[in-house]
Amino acid sequence: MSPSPRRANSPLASPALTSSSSCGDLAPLKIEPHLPTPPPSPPTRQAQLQLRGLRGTSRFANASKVSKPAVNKRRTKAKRRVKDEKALDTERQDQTVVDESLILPGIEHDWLTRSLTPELVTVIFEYLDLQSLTQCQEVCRAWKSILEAPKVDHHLWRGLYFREYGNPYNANPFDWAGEGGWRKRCLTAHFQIDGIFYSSVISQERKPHFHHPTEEFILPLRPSPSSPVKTYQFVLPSEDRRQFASLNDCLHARCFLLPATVHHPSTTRHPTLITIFRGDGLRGKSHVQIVRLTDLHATSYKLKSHSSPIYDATVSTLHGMIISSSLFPNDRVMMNGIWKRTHKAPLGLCGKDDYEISDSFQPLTNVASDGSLVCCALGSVVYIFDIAACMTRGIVHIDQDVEAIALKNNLLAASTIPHRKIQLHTLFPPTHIHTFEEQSLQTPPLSYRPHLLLTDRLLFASSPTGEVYIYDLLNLKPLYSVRHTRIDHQNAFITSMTLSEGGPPGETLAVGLSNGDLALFDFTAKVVRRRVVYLDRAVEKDPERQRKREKGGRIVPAWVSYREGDEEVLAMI
Amino acid sequence: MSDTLVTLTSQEGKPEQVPRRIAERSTLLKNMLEDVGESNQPIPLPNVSHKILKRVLEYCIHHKDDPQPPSDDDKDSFDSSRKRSDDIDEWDQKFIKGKEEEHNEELFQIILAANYLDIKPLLDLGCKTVANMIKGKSPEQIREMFNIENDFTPEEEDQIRRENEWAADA
Repeated sequence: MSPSPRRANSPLASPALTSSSSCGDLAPLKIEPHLPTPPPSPPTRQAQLQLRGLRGTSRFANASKVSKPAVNKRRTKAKRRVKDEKALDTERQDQTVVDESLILPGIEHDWLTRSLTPELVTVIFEYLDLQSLTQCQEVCRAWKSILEAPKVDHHLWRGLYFREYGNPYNANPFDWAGEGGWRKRCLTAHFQIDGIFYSSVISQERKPHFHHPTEEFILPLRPSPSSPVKTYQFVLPSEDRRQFASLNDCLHARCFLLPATVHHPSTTRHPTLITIFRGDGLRGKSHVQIVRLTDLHATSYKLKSHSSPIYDATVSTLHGMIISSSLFPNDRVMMNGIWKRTHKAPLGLCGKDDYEISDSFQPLTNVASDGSLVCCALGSVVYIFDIAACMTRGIVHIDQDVEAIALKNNLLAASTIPHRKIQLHTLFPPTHIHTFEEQSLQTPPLSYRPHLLLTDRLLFASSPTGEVYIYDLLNLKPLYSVRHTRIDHQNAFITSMTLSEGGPPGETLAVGLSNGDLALFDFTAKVVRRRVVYLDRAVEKDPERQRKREKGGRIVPAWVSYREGDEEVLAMI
Repeated sequence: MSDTLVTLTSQEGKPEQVPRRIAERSTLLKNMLEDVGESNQPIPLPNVSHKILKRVLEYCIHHKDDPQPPSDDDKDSFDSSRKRSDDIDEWDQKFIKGKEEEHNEELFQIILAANYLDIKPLLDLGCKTVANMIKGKSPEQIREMFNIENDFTPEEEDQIRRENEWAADA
């Protein structure tokens, strides 16, 4: 029994990226069959809460019956007491000291939630920005439940989302927020830009430096922003080794990381990795392996209803379906239930014939899905299916043959074969937006196929050399690349990518490698410290400008410089 | 016609006479007056105290010439236009600030009254003011400001904080 996994420093990504992780270590959570219990909080906090509770009751009980002056006297006393507490409590360094002048006089109870209806509180919330709303979620249960209500989700968070991030790709009429709603989309949209904190590799084979899960080992669940970059490597359970023995050299593994919130008894709150292995040769059947990442419990089964190995597959988490295309022409795009294996229905090409495909010998190759929409590429044409309505929604013409596609909301990314470019299109209406040049200059090996992944704001594209290039979709430019140390030889190129839909603050990018291993990159947003500088206040120091202000003239910043790293805002007026 | 006086009775039973045109800033009163037609009957407003009624009428008198706000019907249509809270004009700002010592109790009463009487611009003004008070504050500051008790367990609090970590401001 080794107490902890061997850790190797991972020289991944650029130094600038990794340097954003400050010092300090997060003790990784121990793996247990159940969810690990959170560490007990320090007693000082509890004491503070109790104190606050007492203060609340002593100050406000029966306040309405007391005449005003008496209340005022009591309040000043209470204030004095607050001050004393603060003086005594030197441990409250991390908490913001409350300006006494902020405590509102004249309010004898929590009127915002008790007297105003949730509707009125919602109207107030509508005027707040994302950052203020996240603060409001932490205030009390009532506020949190208001902000999490399904009605508010569409009304408030959806509007906020488009306000904060704009709608550069024209949200389509079939728009939906995805699992977790608009609130979650608002909260997660920030995460990806800022950093990668650790990476890990899952393998099916016992190799040097790899730990077997039957040994005691620790899987880091969510690193804190302060945890340093670490590398963890571990082995999948051996029970499936036999079954996969012939597939070890399988070149096309597709993997998907399911969200932790899929409604299934055995997967509730467990991050689950679904790996679809493409069958080898013409006879081999395709397999699905489902691994619960918290305890590495794995099950696997053969993908049924396919007469041939699959060519490409995708997972629709919304419907709990695996959608796969066949290696053979004229075969159908199939849907297999993930959890109920008996539930399978062919997509039936969803009226593909309506579009009079001239070259019917080509198979529908790449598939990508988002919510109810599924896209299948055939040559240079991408078909859009709606699996909920079971109909074809439209087609997008790409001017070159498509090698890989990715789909998110109204956005389609397609990697084209001869020109090694990535094209961005909207689905409704089908419009070309931008073309990215692929960053990697190396000629790919013959068996290499690129892979794309889209999120709200980012495009992930694999390269033959093992890097994952990340593009910023709002500014339409490349951001940076990530690479795992295990992806270092010719035979281990990237065969698939997926991003977890886990909650904020971080997400996990799972990369399937051609040697059968999986590399996991965890993204955690660093804490962005922004201070609001009120120009007015700064301006008032200048007597001349103060005079101008008093005359009612408005002073607007003419030039602003902002540097995130140094927390510096300059404004020239 | 619009100069006819309407009598409003506050919570305390005190009558208050206002020109009909002023009273009609309130959608509730406007609809009521249209339904009733010409009548000298006083309109009881049991939910509004006399002090607050005076304040609300003060607002209505100042804004008597404003155009009626657009109806709320198209609220559900896609609207990405920004809801601003920094566009409060000077008079409104002074009005909502009121007398310093009872500012907040009054603010809250005005919001309730504006909601009850259905005076949208005044309701917006009140809500914007509260929103401005919340903006840029930490949860702890917000709790202190509105006397809200923290009813989260430390574990829950920790969890939420971790979820919101990226947004934590200093």
